[in-house]
Amino acid sequence: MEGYPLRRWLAVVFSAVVLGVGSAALAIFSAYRLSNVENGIWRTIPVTSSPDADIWTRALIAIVGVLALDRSETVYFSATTDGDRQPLSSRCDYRIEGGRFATRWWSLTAYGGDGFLIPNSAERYSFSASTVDSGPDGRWTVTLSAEPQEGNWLPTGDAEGIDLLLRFYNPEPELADALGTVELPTVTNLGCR
Amino acid sequence: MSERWRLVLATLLLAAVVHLGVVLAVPYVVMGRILDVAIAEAGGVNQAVAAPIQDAGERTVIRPSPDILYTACAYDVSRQPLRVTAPLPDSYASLALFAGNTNVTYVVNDREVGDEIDITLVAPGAEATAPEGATVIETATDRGLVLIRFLIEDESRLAELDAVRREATCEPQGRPEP
Repeated sequence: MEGYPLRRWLAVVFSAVVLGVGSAALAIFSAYRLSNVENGIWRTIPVTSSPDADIWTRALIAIVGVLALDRSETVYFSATTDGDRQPLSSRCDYRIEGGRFATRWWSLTAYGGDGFLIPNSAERYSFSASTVDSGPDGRWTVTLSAEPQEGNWLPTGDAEGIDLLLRFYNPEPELADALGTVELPTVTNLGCR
Repeated sequence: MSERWRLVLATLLLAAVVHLGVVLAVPYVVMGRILDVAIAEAGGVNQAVAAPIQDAGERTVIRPSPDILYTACAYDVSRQPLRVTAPLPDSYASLALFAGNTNVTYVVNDREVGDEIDITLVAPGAEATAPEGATVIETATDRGLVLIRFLIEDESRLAELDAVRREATCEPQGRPEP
């Protein structure tokens, strides 16, 4: 190769790395919007280990859902906004209402924007089929708030951004085969500080 | 082709290679990190470790469930099979195998097996090395993770459940291949 100065090739390599890594990150996050199933404020990625998940979806799942079980065992739904599509915040209080689900067991867990459980004085992080106080018809209300509440209180502490995760273990086909339409809990903003 | 275009083309081609490399590597890098933690906590490969109950202080794997007790072992079946046993409680429990690229390759739960899980992992193609009578499960990669979940359905029986899940074992079988 005659006389291409080293400087020029370093520029090529540098640009290629920036472009390559940047486009990879973009493609991986785009895979999220393309492959998820939406149901109101909730979204799920049909976690699959089958070879026909493309490489970007597989990279995405490795980042946001590592060690998640696949749909044959567990279905996951995530929500980061309230019913008015406003991002969930520990500065606001919310009423989450739900009932029974066609599944062996379910849980609703609050995570901070960093993806981990939110430190709080009550050391409560979730409600489930076993722990939620519900009425005789199976309906329940959970209050999502930084301040202690009567009844089912799910603390949000000081979290910057909140991610609610619904887990359904051994869901019935009427749930697992209807991810976009099955009735899921509603989240209503009760007011912000 | 002018020199400028040649450089642009070279940049784009190299960027494509970098892009693919990054995307393909991500699952392996993520899994590698988790295996390192499992190995460190268990004191080695092919050994079971009972993870602490997940609360706000636990920041190893993203989005852990606070309602589940996890027992894990990082497996390496490149030299010998690995027998995994776990007595099961009367509440939900499941075992999953994760390959080196995070893919779930096998799942079984308490309703499918009864009182206990007893399986023997072998590397791809190494079925013949497993002991006779064993339930053989071929892994997709030589190294990966066994993750057993025990659901805390009744918080008042947590200690009992914890005792059961600590009886899960990972035991290498036979003599290691050199």
